[in-house]
Amino acid sequence: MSHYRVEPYTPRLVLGLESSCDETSVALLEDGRHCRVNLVSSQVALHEKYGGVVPEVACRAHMEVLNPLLEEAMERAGCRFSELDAVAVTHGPGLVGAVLLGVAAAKTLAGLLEIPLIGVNHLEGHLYSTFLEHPDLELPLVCLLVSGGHTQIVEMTTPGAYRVLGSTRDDAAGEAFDKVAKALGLGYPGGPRIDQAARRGDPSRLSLPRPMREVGYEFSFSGLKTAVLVHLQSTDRVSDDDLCASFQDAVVDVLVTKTLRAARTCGARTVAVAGGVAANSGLRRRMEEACQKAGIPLRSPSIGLCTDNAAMIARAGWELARLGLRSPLTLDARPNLPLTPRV
Amino acid sequence: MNTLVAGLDCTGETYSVALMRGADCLAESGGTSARAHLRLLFPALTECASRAGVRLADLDRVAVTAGPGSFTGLRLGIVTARTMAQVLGCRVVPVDTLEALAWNVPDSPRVVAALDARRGEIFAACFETRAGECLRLTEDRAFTPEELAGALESWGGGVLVGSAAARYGPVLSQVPGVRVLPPVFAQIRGSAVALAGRRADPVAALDLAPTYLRSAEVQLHGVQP
Ligand SMILES: [Zn+2]
Repeated sequence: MSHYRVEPYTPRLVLGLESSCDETSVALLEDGRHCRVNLVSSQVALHEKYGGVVPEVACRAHMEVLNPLLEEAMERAGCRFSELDAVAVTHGPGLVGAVLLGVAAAKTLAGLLEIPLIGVNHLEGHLYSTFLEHPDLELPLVCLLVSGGHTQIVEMTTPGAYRVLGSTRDDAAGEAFDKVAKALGLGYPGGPRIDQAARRGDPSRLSLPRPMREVGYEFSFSGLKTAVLVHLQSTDRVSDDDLCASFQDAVVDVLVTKTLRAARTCGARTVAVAGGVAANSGLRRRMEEACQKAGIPLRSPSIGLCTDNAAMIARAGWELARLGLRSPLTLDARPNLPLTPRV
Repeated sequence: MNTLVAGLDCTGETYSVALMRGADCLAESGGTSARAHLRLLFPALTECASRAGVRLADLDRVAVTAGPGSFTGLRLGIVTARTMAQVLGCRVVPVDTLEALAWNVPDSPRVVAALDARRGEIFAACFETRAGECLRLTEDRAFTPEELAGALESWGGGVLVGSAAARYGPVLSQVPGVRVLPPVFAQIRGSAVALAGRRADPVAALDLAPTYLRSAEVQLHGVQP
């Protein structure tokens, strides 16, 4: 069991912990909206030479930085442990050995301080990242969660009432970016590099498939990735910049088309894009244009809050507290934790 | 010496925590599933505290096995101990896993603590135990079973304890003077960790680090830069 019900409560100061993939993060959130500190230690440089996240390398790095980061967060916020009112922690999905380190620290803090422990689904954290800068955004919200590990469209009608409209059947969008970048020898992480090259290229030079663009809310990017790899073998190759532009255009087209269709179908009052790929400039621009045309406000988090961070975990935890949810000290790390509604 | 010490171990297939006041064990708790210790390590500690009628806030120090052992388990124990020390402002002491294991065999001139490190390797070291003391005779080292058999022979035998005893016992017990203890003695106890940590020098919470003993490259086999 990961949660039990209690009387709804509103913690004033929530400590957030995030360690599910390749960023370690500690945040302090006051009154659900004022972010006193949000420290993120990224491991990108460590994984660069392997061309992807290596679990053992990630776990070692999390272990090394987690406690120093906690110390620094408390110091910078000028806060004592005794002032904390709740601890929110990512307990999945993610690398199990990494998730459990955040969970271990969170349990210890909550147990010793005798304050509520709140397990947060990492995807739920991304959903609420939007609220950090737009606390008054209107629901229902349709959010595109897009990163190296996940690609899904989620509807939130009221806090805690989530519905996953569609996920990816194979590669996550960010994964497709990484694989194409690797094939082009652009290095890791692929997203920013392709984004950069795409700005110099012409997206109309190469016509690439838009997998499942017109049907449903599910995604499939492996066919598109394969089409790019096949083109690389062909004799009439376009330039790398044009290839990046065409590839990015195809991915963005699918992401934007499906998100807007979901928003119209659900009667969304707000659209958001969260997750690491939300930093992609092509996606941001196209989503902005599409939302403007549809007359639905786009409220995406700023780039620092799109990538993995603990402020969003603290924000989600604060929301779960107000729904009367609390986790036992036996909370487990769940590598494949699905996003399920809380109400 | 009325200090209150917590001892934690989750470096292997079992986990154990204990609260000690001086040489007295107030409460000890644990289990045998490697999967469960991820969930139950900290709750076991709070359970011990309530059974013993003490507050974890009154802890003077936290002793934790810092390796060798399962990488995941090591990190779990270390993060838990570090966080305890940060919140409580108490001292933290790393304890060698093999030494904690050697405490399971009291009053023996030669205890060989040996962990099955998988991939045909054994982490082992040799100790002498006397009433309330455990003296190290050799440094921790990785051995192949053949190398350990040779070492045991050169040490003139000894009492073999730990997870490697179960796996390699039939071979190693052939060495003259070697006595192999059954698996029930292979569980590292939180009380032994606390006893070992009672005398050792504490470190700052953030300086507590694991001893992996095996190089990162071994674990990253197949993932070449
Ligand atoms: Zn994420």
